[in-house]
Amino acid sequence: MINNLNNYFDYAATTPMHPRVVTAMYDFMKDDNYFSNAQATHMKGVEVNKLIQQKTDDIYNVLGVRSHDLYITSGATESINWVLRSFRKQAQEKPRRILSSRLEHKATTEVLKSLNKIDYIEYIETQSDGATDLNHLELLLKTGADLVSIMHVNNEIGVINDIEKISFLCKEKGVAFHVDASQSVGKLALEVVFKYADFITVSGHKFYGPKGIGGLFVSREHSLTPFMYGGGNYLRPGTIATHQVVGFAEAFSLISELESDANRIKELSFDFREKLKEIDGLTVVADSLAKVPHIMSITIPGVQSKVLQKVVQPYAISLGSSCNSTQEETSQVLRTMGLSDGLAASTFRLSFGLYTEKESLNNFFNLLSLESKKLRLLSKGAPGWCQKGQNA
Amino acid sequence: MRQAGVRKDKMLSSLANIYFDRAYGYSYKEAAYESKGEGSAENRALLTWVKFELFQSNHKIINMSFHLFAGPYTIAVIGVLVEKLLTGQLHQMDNIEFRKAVKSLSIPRDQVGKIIIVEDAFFNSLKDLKGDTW
Repeated sequence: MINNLNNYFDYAATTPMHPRVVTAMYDFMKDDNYFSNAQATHMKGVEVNKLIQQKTDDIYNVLGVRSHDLYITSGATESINWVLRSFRKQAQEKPRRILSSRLEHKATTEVLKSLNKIDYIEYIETQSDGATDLNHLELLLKTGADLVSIMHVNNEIGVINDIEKISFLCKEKGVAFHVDASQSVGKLALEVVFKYADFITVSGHKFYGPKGIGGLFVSREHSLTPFMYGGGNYLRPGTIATHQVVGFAEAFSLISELESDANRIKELSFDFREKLKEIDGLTVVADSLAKVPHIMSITIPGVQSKVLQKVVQPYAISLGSSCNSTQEETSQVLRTMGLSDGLAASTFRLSFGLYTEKESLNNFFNLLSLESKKLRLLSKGAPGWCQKGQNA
Repeated sequence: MRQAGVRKDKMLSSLANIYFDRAYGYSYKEAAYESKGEGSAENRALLTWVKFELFQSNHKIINMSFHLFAGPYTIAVIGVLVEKLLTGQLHQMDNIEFRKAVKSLSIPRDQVGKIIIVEDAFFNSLKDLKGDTW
């Protein structure tokens, strides 16, 4: 499996399961002693429950967390839904006010859209370079809020938000603070997040764990309302996916390995960035900001990323656009940063991880250089909206 | 499971892939001609711009070049035109044949507007050519 990953540059979308995670899950699944429902009160159930508690403690220990409780969810989308929907207006209450950014993942922005019919949702402005405008956040907080929800690392452009400063502003006004840390586990130290955030979302498959499992860390000073109803745990009902928890805990045990690999990625990414200067017209989005080296968003004017993705096969690169029934829809993140639709459609994302190697990046660069030259020639004479500028 | 996996309409059909490769691999070759016509069409909402240049000699289209800012389906549609040119049928091309060929590409409903842009660009260039010396 690992040998086939040389051409994979989409680690921000998902990572392959680490061999240690696969082994831990496989060993657990084939062990007859641990198939039982962890909530059952018989001996087998108690044994499984003990093991799950142990795995949860392992996660707390790896992260050094003492102030938050971990709730296992199906992934980041569920965790984010749970937090945001817990803050919506309850019966007989006044509408709530939630502050967030248009640079958030759709798992946040789509939930906020649904809440906007009842509650007040406001978006913190973004500076033209892609940074969250903290002055605007301060201004918004002056008129009160119930929750601020911000991602630690942006999934499209890799920009790092200043969690400490945002938290400081929130604490000053007594406002709860949720951090979507899906993209930061294994890339950045999480101490600052656990020190300052009240709610923290993580996702297993973003750091070499299994898909279908995530976590929501909740500060002991806060509580949530149930998101779903059913048997078992009152707050998060349903039978615990025990094998997933085992894989999830094993993925957390990789964190120190991932964090030390970040230096290698930093070097790879820097060298690749230098090479990219050879490609005419190419720009890296939010190039001047503090970013994780694992994520790079690249614009080549006149070259639609959908076409580029096709002609650089078999390299796996990610697009920033999708379409709906009436028009092409480009990435909201890129549009918020002021890119025109034409430029946003000409932007793609590369993301690196444990198995990214210099040689494969060099080979990819050669192909990218060749094909982008051809595609730029193909778009010669195209109107201005295709190749430059900001939207009107 | 309806929601699981990749949406089918996000991937080119195998025939569209063939036509994409045909258009993408097509390279304009300089050749003597009597006159040329050019035309373009665009739709900003669909993020598509297409321009054709048609070259004629002895009242036959003998060569074609194109430029575009478009997605893979549009390029596949252009591949149909390229095939007609390469098989020497472009001068006989009529709307129905083109539509029929394009239909076989299984273009998703939300992308069909792009066929019209290719058609408009092509017929604008044809009109320009006919207005000149046809």
